[in-house]
Amino acid sequence: MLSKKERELISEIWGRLTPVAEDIGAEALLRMFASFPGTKTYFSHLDISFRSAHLLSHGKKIVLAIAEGAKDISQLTVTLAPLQTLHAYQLRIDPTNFKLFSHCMLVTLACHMGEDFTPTAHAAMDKYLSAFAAVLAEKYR
Amino acid sequence: MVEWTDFERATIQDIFSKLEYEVVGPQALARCLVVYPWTQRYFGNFGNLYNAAAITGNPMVAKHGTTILHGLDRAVKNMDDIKNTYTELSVLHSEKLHVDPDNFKLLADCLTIVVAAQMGKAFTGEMQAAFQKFLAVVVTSLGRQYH
Repeated sequence: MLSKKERELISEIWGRLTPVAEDIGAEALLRMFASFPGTKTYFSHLDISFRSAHLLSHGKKIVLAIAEGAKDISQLTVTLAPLQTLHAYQLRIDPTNFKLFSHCMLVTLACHMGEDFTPTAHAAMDKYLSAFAAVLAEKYR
Repeated sequence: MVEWTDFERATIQDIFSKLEYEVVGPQALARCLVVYPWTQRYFGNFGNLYNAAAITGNPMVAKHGTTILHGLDRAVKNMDDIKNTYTELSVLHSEKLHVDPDNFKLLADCLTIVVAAQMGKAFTGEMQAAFQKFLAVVVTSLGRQYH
């Protein structure tokens, strides 16, 4: 359950990160590929080397979707409806991978925000990303 | 036997040599108790864990966090036999403390994030992978004596 304070905190953080969406997104993806090589199997058709065009554009897409959802978390199912369909019927990424990506996103945020990534912010962010992943997987079955 | 590359060995030694155990240990444990509040079940006698501020300022949490990090030191100094290094601690956590081994992973993730916050850009993806591999071996070893 996300409190009002947590929703505001999450919305504020993602609002600040939107201008650097591609950097944050690309870094999180790269961290995931380094720590969990199995995740690379979903990207065999793309060039996912350090700051490649594909990696940057893909990272940007993901972060912008997360940021968009953060603007009104109560509407997550509505906001993510098209992405739900995409992931369920086309991409079919095993949802375990959402957890791996979320973890690497948290590490990326910690690297960028340092001390500002307080335990409270971390808790709120972890809850939000879990909720986001759960909604994303809703149409899978 | 776990195979470590030269890079992984160097990375683990390097990261731990630069850590202030009395700072990072408490931060990691406190973060775990805040982010995953159900882990507080093991610390009923630690006093005030009512909110994030209370947890972060709690001296018993700080002391235990430091103890845990010094415990990790054993693995850092014994990377080629982490499994046996933790036999006794594994038995302790299973038989006496009754800690669900899934919790070890939660603490490991929090420690990774504390280190990341401290090292910033210097904590590259490759270093993260090495650090996580090391912690994964520790976590497995601690869970080994459960039955």
